[in-house]
Amino acid sequence: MNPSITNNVRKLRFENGEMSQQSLADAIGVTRQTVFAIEKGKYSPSLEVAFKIAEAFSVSLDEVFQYQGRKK
Amino acid sequence: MTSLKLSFEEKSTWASLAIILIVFSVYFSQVYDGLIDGILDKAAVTGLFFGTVVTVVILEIVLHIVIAAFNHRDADQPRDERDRLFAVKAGNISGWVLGIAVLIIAAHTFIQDLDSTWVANLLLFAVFVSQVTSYTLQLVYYRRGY
Repeated sequence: MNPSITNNVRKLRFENGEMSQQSLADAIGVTRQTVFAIEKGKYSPSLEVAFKIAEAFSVSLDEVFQYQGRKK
Repeated sequence: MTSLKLSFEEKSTWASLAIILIVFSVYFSQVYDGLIDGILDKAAVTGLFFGTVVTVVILEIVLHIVIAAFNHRDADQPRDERDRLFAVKAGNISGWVLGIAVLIIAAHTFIQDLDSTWVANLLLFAVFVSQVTSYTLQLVYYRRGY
């Protein structure tokens, strides 16, 4: 778990016609459970998958993931 | 849908953990009692071991067919990067467990001059503990995140 990285995957799915987790998972080549884990902040994906998510929503990487800095 | 149903890999890990815990606990219990009481010779232990391995293989096949039948879509998907990462992380720690156990068994064997049947089963027990550690850690990672 990496609390210093947050993401907008859930919001982006909503803004993209309530895209299902399964549809996103199929688009980026992971399981639906991995999409769920990413949304919940329980798993930080590889750079490749992160870029694929951004590509699936046609947005830049920093619109999907935000680095919050080191936790103090 | 936003609930977290278990993935095929996680169900598979649960099944494998349950199978080896149950089947090998019975095996080790029988071997330990048999060797202590002197009622099991090397041939009997060997037979028991192969019977246990065959049982594990059959149960693994049957349980995985059942799991796949209930969720064939997930079963058709290959392991993704999260599954692979969890397996590697768990394998790294369970490798240490196995290494330390083997060193302890080697020292014990050297000091006590153990019979080969005991040594073989102690090594098998080390592999068992290592594998249980690996499955357990993977399940912890799936539940808590990593």
